[in-house]
Amino acid sequence: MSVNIEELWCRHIDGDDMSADDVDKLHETLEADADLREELLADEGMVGMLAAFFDAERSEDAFVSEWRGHMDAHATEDAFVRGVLNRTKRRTALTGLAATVAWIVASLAAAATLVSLVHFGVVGGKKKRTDPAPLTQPAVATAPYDIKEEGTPPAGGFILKDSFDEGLKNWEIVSGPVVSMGKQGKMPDDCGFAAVTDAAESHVELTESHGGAVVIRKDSYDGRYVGIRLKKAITASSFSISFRFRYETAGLIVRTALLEPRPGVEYEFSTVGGVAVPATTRVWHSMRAEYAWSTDSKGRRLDVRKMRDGRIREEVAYRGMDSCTAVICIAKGEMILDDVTICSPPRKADE
Amino acid sequence: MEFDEQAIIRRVRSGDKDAFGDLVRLYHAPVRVLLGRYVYDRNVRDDLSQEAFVRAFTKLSGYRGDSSFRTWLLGIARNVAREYLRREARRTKTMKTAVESSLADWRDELAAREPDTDVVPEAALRTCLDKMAPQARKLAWDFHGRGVSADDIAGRLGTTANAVRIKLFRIRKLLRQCIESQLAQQEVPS
Repeated sequence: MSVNIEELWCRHIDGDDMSADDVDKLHETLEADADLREELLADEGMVGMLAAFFDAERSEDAFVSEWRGHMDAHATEDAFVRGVLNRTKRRTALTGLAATVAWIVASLAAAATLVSLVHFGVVGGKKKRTDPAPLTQPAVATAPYDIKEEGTPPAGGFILKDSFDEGLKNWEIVSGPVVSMGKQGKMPDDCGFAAVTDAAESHVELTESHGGAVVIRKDSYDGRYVGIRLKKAITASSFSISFRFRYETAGLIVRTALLEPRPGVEYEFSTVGGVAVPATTRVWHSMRAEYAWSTDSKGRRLDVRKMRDGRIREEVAYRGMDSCTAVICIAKGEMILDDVTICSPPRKADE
Repeated sequence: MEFDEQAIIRRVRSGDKDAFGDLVRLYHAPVRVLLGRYVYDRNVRDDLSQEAFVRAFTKLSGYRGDSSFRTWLLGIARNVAREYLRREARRTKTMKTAVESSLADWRDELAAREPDTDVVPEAALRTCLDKMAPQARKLAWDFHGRGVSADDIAGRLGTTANAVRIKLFRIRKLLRQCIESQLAQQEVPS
């Protein structure tokens, strides 16, 4: 091997800026010399093995805890159920409440068996995509999907499992102003408000990388968000929404909203709210939120608990809404989104 | 740490999902090194390593013990790597430069024809690094382990970045030869 090719290869491996001529020369040499190619690919493999070896030596705990983080996402569910129970008991003695709460408990407990799998987006497995196009503008379906609220879903009761294998047929691309709302404070889930369907929006794409996913991208903050919204409201009495996401840029203004609130919504209280759970750039994270409708002396309320990577970020309750849907959006940066799962237990006969 | 692997597997199967963490701890290094063989982007490699464990966890009920758990797990990891390389080979056709596109194809071909073996050279790599001259090991550690740039190392050593890269290339070549020799000694004579 000539010193020049060795040097070009080493610069390539190191990600050094190379002139077009140098890149062409390296390419031509690799194409022409199978033995050299094999040796340099072996060198590339050694680069990866060395880095992996050193990583494994010093980050065993981090690696294992990342695994545990996924698993722990669900260990706190019982606590949430108890929390909903206690709050609701304190606030009301409405007829039928016990049945409602018991149903919530049963719902969440049933969902819990699935959650560990849901978080990884592995339930049901992902179909291989046949379309090799790396980046395509997704087709926006004209007919919304059929929400499976009835029938006999598997344990946990899926409403939707979407790895975007069939594009965005269940979703519409939306954009809208970032606004403050709520009588007592800024509503955390405000990005769904006033969202308008914007099929021409070019900030949302499908990508083949990471096994197929949606990329939401916005270069600068201008007071608007872009994202995707589920085409139908979710009317189940309790449900969870999970998805995997990965920030590709730092310094994001990201809103992973899961509701579509309306003006006048009362942001009633936050028991855990505001907990910072950092998300590392270019690392997959999991987001999960659990919702449970109930009724107290003031009327209907929606209890929400949000978790990132298994840690509770906030626990809030809303009033003034009669439906909700999922909106996942950002106001700045780039986010890859995959494996959205919405599940609810089968409805009971009296509901 | 002592592990009764089969006991851990039984615990996981009986619903103790935390027990799987012990298997992750036990086998994360060979899985990560195996994936490093195919994928040298650190973030992608770690993603794929987690994915391999997730798949193993979800498929554990299908593990019948015909082979060792390690062999079974590494087979899953290898499949994860191959699937990734196939996707990358398709993706790079329109996304990357000609050389990146060709390299993706060649990596895919290489991975496809490599035999399924549970020999992952992490132990041999450790032995070979231990045998290496301290300066060479430090150079490898700084560059590949700590991510110190060739420019920074060159500044410290009073040489050029290219000279550092060439030196690293030769260290890697020596390591490969050493690993091959180590693995050859481990082979059972037929």
